Amino acid sequence: MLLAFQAITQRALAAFAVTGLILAGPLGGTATAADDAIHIASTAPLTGSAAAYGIETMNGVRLAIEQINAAGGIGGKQIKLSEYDDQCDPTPAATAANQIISDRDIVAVVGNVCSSATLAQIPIFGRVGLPVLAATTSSPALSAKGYQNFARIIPNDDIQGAGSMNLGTKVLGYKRIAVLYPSDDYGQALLAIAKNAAAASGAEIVAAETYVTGSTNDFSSVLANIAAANPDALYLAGYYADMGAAVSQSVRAFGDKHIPLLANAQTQVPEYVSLAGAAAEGTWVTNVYDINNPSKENKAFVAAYTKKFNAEPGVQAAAGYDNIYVLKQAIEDNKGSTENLMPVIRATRHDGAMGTISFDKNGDNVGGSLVVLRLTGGKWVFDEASTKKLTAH
Amino acid sequence: MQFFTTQLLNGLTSGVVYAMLAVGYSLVYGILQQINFAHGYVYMFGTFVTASLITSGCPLWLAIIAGLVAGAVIAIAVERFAYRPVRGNRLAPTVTAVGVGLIIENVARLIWTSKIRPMPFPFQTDIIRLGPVVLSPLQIVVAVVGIAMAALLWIIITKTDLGRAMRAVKDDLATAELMGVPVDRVVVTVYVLGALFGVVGGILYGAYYNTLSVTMGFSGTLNAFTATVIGGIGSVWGAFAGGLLLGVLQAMVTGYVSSALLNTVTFGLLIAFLLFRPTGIAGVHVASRP
Amino acid sequence: MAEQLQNAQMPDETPLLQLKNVSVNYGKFRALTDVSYRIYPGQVVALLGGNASGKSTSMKTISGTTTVTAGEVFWKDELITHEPTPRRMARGIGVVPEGRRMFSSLTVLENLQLGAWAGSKGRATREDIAEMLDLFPPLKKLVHRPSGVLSGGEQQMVAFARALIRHPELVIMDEPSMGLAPALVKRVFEIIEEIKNRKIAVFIVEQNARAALRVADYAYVLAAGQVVLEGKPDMVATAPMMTEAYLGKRS
Ligand SMILES: Nc1ncnc2c1ncn2[C@@H]1O[C@H](COP(=O)(O)OP(=O)(O)OP(=O)(O)O)[C@@H](O)[C@H]1O
Ligand SMILES: [Mg+2]
Repeated sequence: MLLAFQAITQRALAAFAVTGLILAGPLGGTATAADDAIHIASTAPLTGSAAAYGIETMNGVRLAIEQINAAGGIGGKQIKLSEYDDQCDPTPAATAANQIISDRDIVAVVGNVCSSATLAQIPIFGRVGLPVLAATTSSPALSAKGYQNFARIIPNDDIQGAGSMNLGTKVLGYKRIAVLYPSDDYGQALLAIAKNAAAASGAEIVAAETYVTGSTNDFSSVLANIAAANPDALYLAGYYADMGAAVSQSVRAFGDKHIPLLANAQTQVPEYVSLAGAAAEGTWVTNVYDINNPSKENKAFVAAYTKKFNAEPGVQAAAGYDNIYVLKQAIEDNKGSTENLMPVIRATRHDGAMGTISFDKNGDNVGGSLVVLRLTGGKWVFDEASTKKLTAH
Repeated sequence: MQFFTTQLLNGLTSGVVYAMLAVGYSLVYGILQQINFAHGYVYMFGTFVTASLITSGCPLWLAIIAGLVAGAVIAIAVERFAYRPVRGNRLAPTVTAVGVGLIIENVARLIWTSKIRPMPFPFQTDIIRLGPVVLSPLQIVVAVVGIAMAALLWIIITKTDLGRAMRAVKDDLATAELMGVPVDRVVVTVYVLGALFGVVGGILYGAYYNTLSVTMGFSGTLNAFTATVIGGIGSVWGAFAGGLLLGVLQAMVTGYVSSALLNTVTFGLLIAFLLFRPTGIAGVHVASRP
Repeated sequence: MAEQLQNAQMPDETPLLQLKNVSVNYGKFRALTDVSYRIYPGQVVALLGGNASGKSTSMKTISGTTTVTAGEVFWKDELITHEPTPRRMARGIGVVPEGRRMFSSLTVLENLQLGAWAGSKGRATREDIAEMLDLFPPLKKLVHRPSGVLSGGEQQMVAFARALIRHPELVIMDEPSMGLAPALVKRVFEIIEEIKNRKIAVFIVEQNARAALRVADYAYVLAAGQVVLEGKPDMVATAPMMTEAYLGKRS
């Protein structure tokens, strides 16, 4: 009765509140400091244009917390979560961060989805040494700044980008790689990553051809260049629609010669397949998560998630879920203590729904959780053998 | 040599497509001294009608005819509602054309969404080997259609009553009216002809590159417009020459210099011609050529 | 009211073309006030008047290239006051426009073909073309020449042939002798005689009043947008106001 009353007053307060400060306050019931729980905060977009991502991430987070608490918590302590809405926007994100640091009981922040919002928060958390274990933020800028209180669950864009190249060179053994990339920042960044990855594995970029996305669908001349370079494989470092068009036209450039195709996660969409047609068959992609990953961790996660939310989990949910289990493992590795947690998090190795998660010195997932899929019979099929080989490196 | 031939054929193929799209600018400018800014949207729509009918299993010939009819109907509507009320005005048609262009594009988005779509067409994955050179049967289709359409245009302009009337309207619209020439109908026909060539170009584009997007009305137009300027805006033969030249030049730049320079070269060419040779390669003044 | 020297032109017949009490304004400026003309089949009618008196405006009223403020225009019995130019010209009117107005990129032959195409009889036959070349022999050597490069006299012949090849019932011409050498001016009036012989009506605006009156069956004289005099040519020519104010000065 009292609790219900409290909740009503709180809602009434929120309704009358005009400042973002109060709006950004914890949405769940406030806990008193006297309990013996592990208090964590989450910051994710729960409203606004990125809300769908934030809510799915939070579903993964909530599922993991529910499972852990039901099984007795961490070393007997329950996890208590305070949820904050960062709206995927640096301003409300900073407000939320200030709220979080004013609560002395909070030992870690989880669930971050948006890189720009997180970038605004890290220095604020840093002031009190609060560790941030982000879920699906992927901008390399976050780890490039050398923040001591940051780690993240999914591999950043650079590490994801190198995945397909590593698959081609280290797993499939191709030595001569051609790259097709858009001339914009995204394409330039992927080309740089491809060059580094090739150099690191002793392969060679034999052709790097570019195009202006949206201004042409004619890939015949660049494909002729690529064919003339006689590559072992073609790395499709662009947008799925352009890659679909290029692959559909590749038959004419390559003749009967089969060129293996390596592609990014964003190519793993039905539109690529329908545009590229039969020529797309056999395309390899690497991604950060696949629902069909047959590992026992993923099977258990998918079953529990589907049961609870009556929806299939995507990468957001998996990252949110693994987010909490990585934190749990770190606290356990730290002998149940929540003091000085970040170095322990960065040293943690956890087999989660996504795959094997471990971190480098900047807190980045080293890529051990990448998955490999191959377009087989027009469907993206999880390739267990290649996934194992890729992540073994 | 084999590489050169391949790139030459690639360039000629895209050049024919550019030329088809460019005719719609050149015809209208040549006869009415007006840049037909709605052209790209009109041929986009017609091409999408064809593409969606092919996708839904309609016979190819019927889909093509339907696309041509759609292009013609839209061209008639655009002429009637966006151009005719402001004919003779220098600036207003530009504004109304961009306006209807956006309407056409948004209607297209409503019908077909913004998704990039494939356009299934016969021979798309077939190849012909001529010694070391790999050729697509579609390249032959493109070449044949291009030559046939150029011949058709030449006959229409130089040999028919309509062509004569078009040239008369270009020379002196007011006197053509005094001679009883139904100028309004001739002007509509000019737009319709441009749209038909555009839709043919769009269908060849979709067939050969297997990719269509509703934005082709705007972005896909850069090359066609550049071809028009290179050839001498207002000259339909210039549109063909400019299209082929631009296509081959782009293929050669891609093949022998760098694909990174492609748009720089295209834009550079466009600006250079506009600044230093606005009359195009032939360098003949607009008013004195068909 | 105009001074009427001869009562009626041809009282029994329906005029081929008739302007009834027409006024034309250019904005606030009144260029024609309450003018009436009648042109009967086969008749040559001259329209005389000083500069800016409204002669070209009268022509434009017939061709429909200016808007009539008040009054009516009839073709035979049909009201055509607001009919668009191409349609009314296609009824059987040929025009020799002021300044000749060649389709300069079209050849002489194409100019003739175009003249016929948009007329009431349709496409030019081989005979039509041969007839015109017989009427204007100097054009024989020029048929495939772009008309834009011809001399003024040659262009005037093309302009006449282009108007005649469509077998019109009426030819209207605005100052056909303007800018031509005296020998060619003479030729122009010979051609008008020839047209008259073919029973084609002519409505001619001329500053060369003597020459015009010589071929005309009837004449109107405009001053400041009003018909001040009309009648048979000999009467007009000898009217005191004409000899003083107009013919006198020019002779
Ligand atoms: N479009 C126009 N706008 C305004 N005024 C005009 C226009 N056309 C003619 N006018 C005026 O109407 C009057 C009659 O012009 P019109 O051309 O009919 O004269 P005209 O008798 O043919 O003269 P001319 O012998 O010099 O050819 C003139 O004062 C002229 O300035
Ligand atoms: Mg005049």
